[in-house]
Amino acid sequence: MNRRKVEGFIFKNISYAAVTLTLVILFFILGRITWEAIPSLSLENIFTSESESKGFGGGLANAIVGTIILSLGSTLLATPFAVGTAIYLKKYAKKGRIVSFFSFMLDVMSGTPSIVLGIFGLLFLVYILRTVTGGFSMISGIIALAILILPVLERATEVAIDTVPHELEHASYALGANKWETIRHITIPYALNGILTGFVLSVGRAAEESAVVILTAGYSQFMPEFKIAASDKLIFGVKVYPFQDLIAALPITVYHAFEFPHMVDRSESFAAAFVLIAIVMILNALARFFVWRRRIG
Amino acid sequence: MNLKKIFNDEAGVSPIVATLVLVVVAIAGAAAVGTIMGSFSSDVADGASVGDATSAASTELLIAGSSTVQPVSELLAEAYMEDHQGIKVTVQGGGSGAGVSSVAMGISDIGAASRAVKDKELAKYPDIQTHQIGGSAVVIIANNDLKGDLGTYNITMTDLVDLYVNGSTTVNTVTVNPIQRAEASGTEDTFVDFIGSDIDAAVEGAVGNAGVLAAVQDDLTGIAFVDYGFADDASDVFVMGIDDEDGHSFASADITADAIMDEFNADNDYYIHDLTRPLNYLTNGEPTAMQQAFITFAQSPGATEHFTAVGYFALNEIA
Repeated sequence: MNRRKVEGFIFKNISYAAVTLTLVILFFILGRITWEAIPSLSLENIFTSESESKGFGGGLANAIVGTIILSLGSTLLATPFAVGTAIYLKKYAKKGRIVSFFSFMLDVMSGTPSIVLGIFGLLFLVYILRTVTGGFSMISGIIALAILILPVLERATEVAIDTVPHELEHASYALGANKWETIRHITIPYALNGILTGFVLSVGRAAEESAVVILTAGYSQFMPEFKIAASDKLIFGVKVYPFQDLIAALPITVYHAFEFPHMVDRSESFAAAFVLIAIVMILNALARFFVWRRRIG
Repeated sequence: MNLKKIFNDEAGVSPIVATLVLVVVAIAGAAAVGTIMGSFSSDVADGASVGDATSAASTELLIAGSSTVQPVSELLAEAYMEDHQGIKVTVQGGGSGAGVSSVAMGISDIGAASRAVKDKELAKYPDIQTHQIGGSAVVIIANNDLKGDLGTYNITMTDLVDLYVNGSTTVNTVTVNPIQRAEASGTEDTFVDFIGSDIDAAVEGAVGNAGVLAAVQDDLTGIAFVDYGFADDASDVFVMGIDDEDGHSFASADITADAIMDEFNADNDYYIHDLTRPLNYLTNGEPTAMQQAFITFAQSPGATEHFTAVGYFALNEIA
């Protein structure tokens, strides 16, 4: 064998080893979580809220519903801002110092540890604006999470817009379309695939967040309620449920068994972890599905 | 290329999408109906409870703070809500410090703390009122592997200062590995007040009482301070005898739940008094009727079982 072949052989095997190791670790983690979760993974557990089950812990429904509401709500809130910013930066802004500074700041924002945003949310949304948001509440949580995922979604949209062939846009201009018509009928539809993928990944990012949630949405043993009740603590004298009410999230439930090992069965935590993984997995599958449906050609 | 196509083109709607949409709608519908029915029934209960004229929103309590108190609070809340239909008590953690600041900032109704409110905190938030609901104690535990060498040895305050402040790793010439709490906690505050100086940051840390217990169980030379509720009945560890500076001496076998309970009202007669600590509820100013009702419930003899379930002592056992 000559040197070139040996080189190729070595690097091929290093890649194989890396893939094998990664897969083994992944399957070990997933398998372990599933195995530990099985004793607590019943339909009853998944559809009962913690407040309805006896004793400390038990019941995941409040956390599951909370996680879904928080992650979907925050992504929906962030989407118009993220997409708008991306379109402005890519299509309208003139390249210059301010734009590159802004772009740099977006990168800084996406690298900001979530606890920093959490403490900001606690001070600003939960404390200073407590007559509007209701203190620890769903709105506080959604706003803080939206700030957290905005840069992620914005970058995904920028990348998606970059994939749009310039020829198509130029053709649109040549046919007499103005800038808005081109963006509306050519750029966004073409980039929609990438934007949707970014959207779904952002939902996953928000679902797995714990630091921000505990500092802004708090925690609740109860299912979200739909009602309006009088409250002298809030600005218009009414408290609108579930928006101004506390809400639970799965990552906090996962932590409970570690925090209170003598009170909560360990498998309950793993059941919560399993459900969280399942939610993120379904979201990723949906993202793949959108990409597959809207594939070009 | 166009979103409209999915709705206009028949081939655009696959059976898979239709099924998925159906499932999502069904789940969302079920959840909505469930919650609406749930709140409806609690509204009815509101109306029916003792002709209470208070508005729905004021029948809510949020208890936040000490993770030591949190499990008791949840059990108390559950029992309380069973007796008082229409009242909603939500419990969350955060630590004793968070309990003090959240109640003082007005973002929780009752703060929970596993220690007395500090003078510095009182200076900042002068309106805070303390209501003791129970108590607990900090004990020194060691791995069972050390029982042969240290089983009958009473650890002294000098030993503890050497281990946690001066970087020593021996007790009575036996090599040990001291473990501390990685985060600020009522347990650690109580211990630090007892030994009189701050713990050296170089000492290995573990998160929570549970983490410290697990670390000592895994380390054959492990030694640490934990809440009695965690040390009681724990496998692979034993509670060490202890001597304080003033000549009070308690052997390993003397440190029992009964002894600690008796000590709350004594002066170093049954256990080191400085290592016992209160479990407190805090209010910002005079408690409202709602807050007072819940605190009274927590202090009542009927609540004892919930403290016992977590390994703490209720107020009526102490007082």
